[in-house]
Amino acid sequence: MTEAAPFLPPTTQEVVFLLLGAVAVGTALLVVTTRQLVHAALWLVVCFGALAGGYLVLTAEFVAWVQVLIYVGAIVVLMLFGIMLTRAPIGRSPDLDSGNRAVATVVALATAGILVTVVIDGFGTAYSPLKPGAGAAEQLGASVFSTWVLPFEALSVLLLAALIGAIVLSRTDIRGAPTRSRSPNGSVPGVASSPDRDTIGPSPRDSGQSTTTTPSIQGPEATKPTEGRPHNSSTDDDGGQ
Amino acid sequence: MHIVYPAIVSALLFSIGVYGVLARRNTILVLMSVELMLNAVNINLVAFDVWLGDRLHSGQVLTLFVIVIAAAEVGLGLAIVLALFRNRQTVDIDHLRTLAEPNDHAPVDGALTPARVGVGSSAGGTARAHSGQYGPTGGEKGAPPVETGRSGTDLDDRAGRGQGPADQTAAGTPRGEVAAAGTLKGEVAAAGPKGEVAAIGASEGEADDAPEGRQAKDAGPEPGKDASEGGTGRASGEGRPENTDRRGGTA
Repeated sequence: MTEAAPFLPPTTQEVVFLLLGAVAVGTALLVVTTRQLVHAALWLVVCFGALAGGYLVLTAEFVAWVQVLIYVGAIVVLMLFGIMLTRAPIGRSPDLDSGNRAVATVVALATAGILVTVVIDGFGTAYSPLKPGAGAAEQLGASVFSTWVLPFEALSVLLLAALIGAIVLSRTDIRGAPTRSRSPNGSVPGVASSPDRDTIGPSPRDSGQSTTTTPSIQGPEATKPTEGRPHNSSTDDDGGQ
Repeated sequence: MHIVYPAIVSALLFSIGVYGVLARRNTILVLMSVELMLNAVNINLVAFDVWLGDRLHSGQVLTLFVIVIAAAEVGLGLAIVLALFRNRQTVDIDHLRTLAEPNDHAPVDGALTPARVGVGSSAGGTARAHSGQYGPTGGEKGAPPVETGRSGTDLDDRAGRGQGPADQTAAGTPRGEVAAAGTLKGEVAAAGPKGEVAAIGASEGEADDAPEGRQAKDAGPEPGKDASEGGTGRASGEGRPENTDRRGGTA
């Protein structure tokens, strides 16, 4: 917490950190502007890698390796799985940006301006010499398992809950109570039930079946479709085609 | 190490994440942007941990916790996205408007209407969701305000009960390719049993030569929720016109 170190001859650590930070910011910009979905995930790898390097420069070794293991190793791979499972177009896709790009740019620039101004104003002279080994696994492990042991255990329970939640959400053969409890308008059972079933309790067989049945149902009962329902079924059979 | 350097990098990363969350349309890209924001927070935590020389390493431990929570968040988020994709065959956030209140944004969008409809009619297929969504106000534009209010609620009611072919016309029109095949039928269906629909549609049609735009506005008085939900299916051009003329025929 020593103050008033000179800025202009930057130390080697600062130069390295600034270069890594430039790489991180540049690749983050590519992540949010690229037209190819898979490239966004790969640029995200570079960004996280540069950030891990930044953690290393800041003497947070353990955090750096955890960053590499979890972010680069797990999260980006999970994202790639998500991209593949949603059958995203490989290659250039023109509609990755929504219509409010201008508003988003303005908001992001305003956020950047405010944050950078405040940070420079508040911490412009803050300086701290870096001590190697301050964030090694030994210190961090002693801290986690002595002081922060209760949040650590709570976090493991949270991870377990998230794991179970992800399994329940992504399995198609689990029909919980919400499947039957949410039947919003059962006034027309023939029309309302089949899209409802494939909306909430999804299984591949069901959706395939409903795509074949609902258009034929839709014809004769055309005078009374409820408002959202026929479109659900029609979106389903769009995707099936 | 000057603390201001990591703080600035973190601020820039955070605003890039904000931009991504606001501007991206694919849900997975939005999740990536959220990850960028979380990483910005992590840099801040580590930098200030180093600055404060905390003996308990609160900052770095909290960074580890944030990383773990981010992993849980991505796992759950992707599970939700996959469930969404299974049910809707799309992960575009703009198309998921089921929870939107249809009557809320109708008057608000009225100001935007002429430009949007113009874009929709000229751009054809790209504006498939928007033309339906802004359709109601496009219809209201040509009519006096009192009349619009009345017919709007009237049609709302009718669409809520799900009768009347304006429903189906709106379902057919939001995409451009329908307009070529279904123009006549759509117009007939819209103009048939509903006097006010025909009137509004006609006044709109004179104002605009393009048949697609005209048909989109014929679909207009139908409340926008239906059409915009219908717009979630992107490749569904061929299913809708048959529905349209079948219903036009039955009515």
